[in-house]
Amino acid sequence: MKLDFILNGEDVSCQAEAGDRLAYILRERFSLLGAKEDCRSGHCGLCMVSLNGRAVPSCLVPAFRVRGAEVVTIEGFELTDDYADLRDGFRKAGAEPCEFCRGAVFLSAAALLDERPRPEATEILEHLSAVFCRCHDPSALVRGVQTAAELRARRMYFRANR
Amino acid sequence: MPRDRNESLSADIPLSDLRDEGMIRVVTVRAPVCRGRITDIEVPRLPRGYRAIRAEDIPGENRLAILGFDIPILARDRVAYAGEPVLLLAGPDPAVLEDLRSTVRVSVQEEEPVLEWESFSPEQVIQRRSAVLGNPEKAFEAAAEVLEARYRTDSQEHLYPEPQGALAVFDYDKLVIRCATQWPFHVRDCVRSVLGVKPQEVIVRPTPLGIPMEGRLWYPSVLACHAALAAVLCRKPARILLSRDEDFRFTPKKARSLVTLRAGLDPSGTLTVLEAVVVLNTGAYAPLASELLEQACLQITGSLSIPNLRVQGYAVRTNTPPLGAFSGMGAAHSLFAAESLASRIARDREEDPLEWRARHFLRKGSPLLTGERLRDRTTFEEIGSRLKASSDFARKHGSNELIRKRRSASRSEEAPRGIGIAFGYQANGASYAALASGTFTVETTLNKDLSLVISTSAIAGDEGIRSIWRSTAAGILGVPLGRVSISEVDTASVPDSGPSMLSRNISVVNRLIERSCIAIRSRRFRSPLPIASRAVHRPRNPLRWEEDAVRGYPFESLSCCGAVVELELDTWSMEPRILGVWLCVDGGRIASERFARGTLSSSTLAALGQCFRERLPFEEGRVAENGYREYGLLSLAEAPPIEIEFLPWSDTDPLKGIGELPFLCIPAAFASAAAQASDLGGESLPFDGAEYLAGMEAV
Amino acid sequence: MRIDEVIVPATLSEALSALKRNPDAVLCAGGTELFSEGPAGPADRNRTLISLHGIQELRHVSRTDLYVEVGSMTTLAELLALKEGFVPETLRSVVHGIGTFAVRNLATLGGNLSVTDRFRDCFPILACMDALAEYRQGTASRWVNLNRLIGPRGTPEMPRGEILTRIRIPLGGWDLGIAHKLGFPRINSRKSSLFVALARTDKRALSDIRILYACDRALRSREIESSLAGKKIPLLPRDIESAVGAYADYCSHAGIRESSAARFLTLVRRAFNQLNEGVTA
Repeated sequence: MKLDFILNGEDVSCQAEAGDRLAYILRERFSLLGAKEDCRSGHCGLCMVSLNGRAVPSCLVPAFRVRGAEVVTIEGFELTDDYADLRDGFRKAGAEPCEFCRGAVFLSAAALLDERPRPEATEILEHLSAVFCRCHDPSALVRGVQTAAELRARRMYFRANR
Repeated sequence: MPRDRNESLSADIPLSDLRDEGMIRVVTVRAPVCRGRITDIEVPRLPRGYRAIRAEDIPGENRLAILGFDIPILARDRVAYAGEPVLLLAGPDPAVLEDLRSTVRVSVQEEEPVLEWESFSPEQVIQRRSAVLGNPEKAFEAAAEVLEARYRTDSQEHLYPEPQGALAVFDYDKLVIRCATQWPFHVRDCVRSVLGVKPQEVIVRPTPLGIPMEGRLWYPSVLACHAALAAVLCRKPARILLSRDEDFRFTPKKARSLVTLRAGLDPSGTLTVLEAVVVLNTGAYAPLASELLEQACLQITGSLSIPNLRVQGYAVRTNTPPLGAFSGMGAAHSLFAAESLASRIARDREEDPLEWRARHFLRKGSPLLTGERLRDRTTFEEIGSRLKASSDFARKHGSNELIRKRRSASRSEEAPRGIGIAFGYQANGASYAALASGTFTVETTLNKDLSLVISTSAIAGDEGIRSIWRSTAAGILGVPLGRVSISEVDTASVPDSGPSMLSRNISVVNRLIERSCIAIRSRRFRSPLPIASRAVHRPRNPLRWEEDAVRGYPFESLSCCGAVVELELDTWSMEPRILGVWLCVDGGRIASERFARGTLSSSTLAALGQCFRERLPFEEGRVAENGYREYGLLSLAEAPPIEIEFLPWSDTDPLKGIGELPFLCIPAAFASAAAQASDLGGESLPFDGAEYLAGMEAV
Repeated sequence: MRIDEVIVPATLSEALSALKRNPDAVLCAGGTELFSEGPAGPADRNRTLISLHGIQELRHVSRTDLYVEVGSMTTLAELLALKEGFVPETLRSVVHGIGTFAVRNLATLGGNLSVTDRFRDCFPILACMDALAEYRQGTASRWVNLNRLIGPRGTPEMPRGEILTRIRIPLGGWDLGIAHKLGFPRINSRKSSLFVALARTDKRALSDIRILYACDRALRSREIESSLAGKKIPLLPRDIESAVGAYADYCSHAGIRESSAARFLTLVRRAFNQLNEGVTA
């Protein structure tokens, strides 16, 4: 089937089987490797992307659901100010996740900050439990997200008052 | 926004993200049964561009040689576990390969698999160790009380951040292997031997490792051989990448253990004698069995000093996938048993577990199993008193005990709570008989522009270790940290620094960096730049295991640790909910507190997972298809507060390994807490809440 | 995954027509079950698939004084985002325990209620609440009490050839509302089970009690529930013992595994104790 959708802000088109997983399409058709195609059951969350503004495990999204949708991967998210807040926040807090789970952690954290600009530690851990990696240090991740939240709030404030 | 792709030789890209032009894929056809003789392999007619690779096609030796073991790269005559690689299929399209794989028929004359291991037959024993200290017989005769206990731990999955695999690409006349390994030179040597080529014709450039949990010591070499065979026989770059399901079901896991202890106490309740039988189920082909067994035997007393001791250890073969190394490397099995026994004795005697232990802690001068006396000072008492203060252990333990006693008299609907404590030590520079038997080298070079390059094949699983290496070098030579770099690992250009396991990155590699930098410093203003210096680690005399004895000094130094785990059992599901974990660590000088805390916290989660969540669903020697989906990972949402305290250190203290400590202390602390909450013995991990719940109501 | 043809209707009537034309088609809601890699199942055969994800009218949520009505394609995340008290708190806590936030962004209530191999998390609590499910086929529609979807052997008997469109959840306070998953949170395991107990009291007497345990099948005895109705609260120890005994007999007749039965009985006893404690408190 022909798939037309918006990928990281650009209109794109590709051929896919109806049952192909979005994670596979992103990796094989678009060479976007930030989403890892790992467990194929939504269990590990390492294939996280944003689908129509919602963070989802892309291994559970079949091709036919992507038609006309808006997909943002970590590669697209990396171009945003929200990403810069997270990157800087995690770095400042000494909480950088490993190269394998980084994209999924950042997209999950971004989804949380969209809903809760000042999240509590329990909310952060609840949200980030969508991603599994042996590298996770819970208190560091909480510090990372909370520092990013502060940076983001500050940026929003300056933008509003400019 | 496609990334720049021509990166099959780049160092920081995970294996699953690597591609190479014209790359073919490789899939594995596996043994359908646990044990038997292969009678036929029926391969369908393959489309053009596809190839089947059998054991007979291997140009060199069909074996991976490690520590005296031979493991077939592809099973030729016999299969030893369900899922053992029998044949490879190589070709361009993964979907076509999957279809072809399902049509290959492997016929095996099936034999009764050997799955029993707790009571094993002599033929199953692949390694045996025994040693005696003091006079156990006499001590048992004099004992006022003798008690016995059996402690079991189950298998666990390493759960690497990406499934295992390997890529083989050609770089002019060399074959370059890319894979995530803890031991690049082992990969090189295996591939060389399987292809029948010279060592310099194979180059290994590792891909990011993630947290390996000691599981990537030898198995990556098998997969590297598979990729290399496909590449050489098909004359194309080839990649094998297991699916998560394959990796979960067919690659090595943690060994299962049964430790039977018989202890003798004098009238004052002092533990005077211990007899231990350690049985490790190491599955099929367990090349690290000797290492695991030796560490298990050497640390059989945990944090305790026991003057009379008899240890017998057996590594036992079964027809399951290989079971072997995991963080805690053998010692974790023993420490769980010994520390649980300590808690049980204290509980039986209605003594505070900390006070009881304080009379037994290993101290400088305590006799070791090897007959030598402990040369290091231990800090268990100080650790204990700090833990007592930070976790409020004595009060919580006492009040939980009161509730426990009342609970047995009347049914209460309150969530039962428990708190447990355990101690342990990580042996730095342990004398691994074979793994560390080579000479290992690190080279540093101070260049004309005053930049310093560290050259080593050691693999750092995280940024923390690299940062420690760089700081060490920068500190000695007075070079700005930003001018110190670590060269990319490439077996053609870096020296062999040995396997990156346990604390070797600190206890061996960091010391070699220190030594080589000191050597440069001494030549700094006498020789022109660049100055290069190589430091070589020559292993100390390995321990000598004899019949009923072991001789030598078993380690270079100790890192001591204590852990407290507090939990409650959910009133409805009886699943544990961890309320808090307290760790107190004496790890010598802590180079980076931030990294140390991060490592200890993430290890704590994995250690807790092993205590009550991560159950490998082995059924008749195999893990069920899609078992991964039911594997109970401890999620961040359930992560308890983890409080970590380091004993004070001075700048002159040595760096020590600490990453294993949670795996050594937490299981016993958890089991003791679970025993207090559940009134069960806490003798088996993982704790099964559902089973406990079922046991509460007789039908 | 082999799918011959996918139909993505934009409206319910399009979906109904598509189903009429393809009565054997697999209906796909959020896809979290269907696309989880598993042993050969419907998704691995060549099938026509009708995906309901684009039908906005199946995402409608409304509430009256008596019940809340949830469109079957409402995602679990959307359900949780409803303001507090909109849906019964016990249901909310069950939904919160399903998957991760990211999986709940895809998974739907209708999908959760339609899995055929074993009851998923929302079914037991909604069945105990006497929730109704609306099924549509062609121009016809019918409301079915979820309890009627439990077959005689306790296994799911989901309607075929019909589309689940709405779920009507009765409101009304329960003095006891317990819904617990046994086993690991967030995981759909063959080994996990669900225990639900709801009870109402009136003038210190038990007016209504419902207990359902879903393991490899759903266990619920209306007979025992009726025998308990009218009992004074707190329940007397002999009432509890006799009810637990009755449940033990029920389990042995149902032929479930001993360990499952033992768990069920422990939980029944706990539920009674909690009911008593609530009243005395």
